[in-house]
Amino acid sequence: MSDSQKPPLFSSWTAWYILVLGVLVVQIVVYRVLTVAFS
Amino acid sequence: MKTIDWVVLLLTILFIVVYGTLKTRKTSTVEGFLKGDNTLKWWMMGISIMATQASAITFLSTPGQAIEDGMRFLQFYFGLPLAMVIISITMVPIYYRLKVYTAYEYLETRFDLKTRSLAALFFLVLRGLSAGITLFAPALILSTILELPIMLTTVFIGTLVIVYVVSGGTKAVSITQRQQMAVIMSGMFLAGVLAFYLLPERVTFSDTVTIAGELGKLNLVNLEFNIEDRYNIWSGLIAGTFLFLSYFGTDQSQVGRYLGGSSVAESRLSLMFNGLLKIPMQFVILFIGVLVYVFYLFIQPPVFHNQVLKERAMKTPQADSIRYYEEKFNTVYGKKRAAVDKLVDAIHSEDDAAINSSSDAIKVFQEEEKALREAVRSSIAKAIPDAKTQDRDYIFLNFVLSNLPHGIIGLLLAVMFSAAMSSMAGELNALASTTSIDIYKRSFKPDASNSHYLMASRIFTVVWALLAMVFAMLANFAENLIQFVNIVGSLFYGTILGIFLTAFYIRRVGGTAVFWSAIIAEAFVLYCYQFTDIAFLLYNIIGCGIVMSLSIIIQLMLPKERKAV
Repeated sequence: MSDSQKPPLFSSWTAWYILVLGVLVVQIVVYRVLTVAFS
Repeated sequence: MKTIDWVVLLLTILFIVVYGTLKTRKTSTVEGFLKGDNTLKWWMMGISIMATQASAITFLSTPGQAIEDGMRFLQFYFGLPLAMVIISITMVPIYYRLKVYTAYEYLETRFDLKTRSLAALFFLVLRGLSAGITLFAPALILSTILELPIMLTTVFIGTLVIVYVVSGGTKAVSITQRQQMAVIMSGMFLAGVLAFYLLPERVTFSDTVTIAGELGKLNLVNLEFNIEDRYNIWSGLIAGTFLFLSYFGTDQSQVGRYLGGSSVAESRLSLMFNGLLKIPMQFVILFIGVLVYVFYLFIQPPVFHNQVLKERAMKTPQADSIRYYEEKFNTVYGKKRAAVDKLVDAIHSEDDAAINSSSDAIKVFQEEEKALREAVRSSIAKAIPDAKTQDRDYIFLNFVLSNLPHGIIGLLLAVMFSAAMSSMAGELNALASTTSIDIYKRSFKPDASNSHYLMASRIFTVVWALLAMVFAMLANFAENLIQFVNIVGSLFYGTILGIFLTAFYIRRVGGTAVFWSAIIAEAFVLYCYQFTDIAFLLYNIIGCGIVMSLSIIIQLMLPKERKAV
């Protein structure tokens, strides 16, 4: 991987992708819990 | 509107326009104009990506959507983070490797000129229409408030955008979008806080959320699969991913934003930024809509939110009819208000049976109100036959104008204008890039000087702005604005995405096969829109699927003609 492609914070882009998708999953779970709790 | 509102509104807008123009007036090359000289940082591009997507329609229409339909619209954005990841992995490195100005240049490298031109043409039609809608929304606000012809307000906003986009191109778009996003976020946050603080003192934040939930407005995630339901988790995750792949991966108004970066890493980070923040941002905007909904449970709303149109109708023979329905509406609201008080009492005393009975009563009164609103709408339509009687897009604006303090009203209107200008600026810049690079330079004048293409790009910016203005003046949108924008996008995005995915993943397919597949797919999508009830998000899958599968079949029937990258 060249310098211009290296990600900040993590050693690989895969970690960034897992972070973004993980945050999506957490949000969906939280929103579903809110939906059920307040319906 | 008082003087203080006008001062806040005009100073905010003029400062942004003048700052953007002065800061980027030295742009002297086509690279600088179309790609910002590849000097933009990830956070600048990230803001730019979000600002381009969030038009005035987002802030006008989305709260109204939440008020009428709850927060389920949020699910529409669930596919966005997935799309950001896929684009970062596949498309960004290719665009950088080929050093393209526009996404469509890649299609000629991979296929041929006719496929590149077809995709560019689809984009120009789609984005040209969208630019018109983007301009229409704020122009409508100003014309409503000032009771001026929409022509004047359209020309005013369009001209402001032309000034700085023609001056500085991509850099001007990016610089102004940062300030515009700051205005937008602070204004919307303030509106949300004020909507809550204007509620009766005894209503706590917890009560507000409970009331919204009991009355069905916190319908954030629906797990049920229904092909005709516009917003559920499946349509968001599957069809939404296709839509956002197409929008962020192949729509020049977005590709142009992240191609301005200094490296692949900067561009990828800007997409990750969007993937992390977009859904929370939409949540906040929808929740502001819910707060306004709860506010209107305690404070009587008008029977029709477009007050100016109603006043016009009151000067016609339909006035008696409108007055009759309005009085009935006021009576129903009085009963509903009493039920709302009972609901708050029941929540405070944690009496589940009373909560349920009060909620049911409120829902019944809401249905009665809905029928009376419909009757008023019909009367207004009879009074003014060519009027747009769908008033959902006016709910939030009406709330701001009628209930917020002066000064804040000016700031909130500045939010709408900033959003409109930021989005339109990105669109005009992309339309100009695609017209000058993919059509003009490629097919009409391939060997001119750098300064010639710079001038051509500036002229195309003005031409597209003028076309958007004409479209905004002539248009009469039946649908809720934000849905209309997404429907227009879905009509073309599936086909464009199909062309790109075929280019990336089906290497045996050549230009002729994908070209004819795209034409057939587009015809079929337009047929679906006209003659079927299929949810519009699914057009993205249908268009994409037809292009990819049909191009394989056509390729098998053709003699070999593949050009490797």
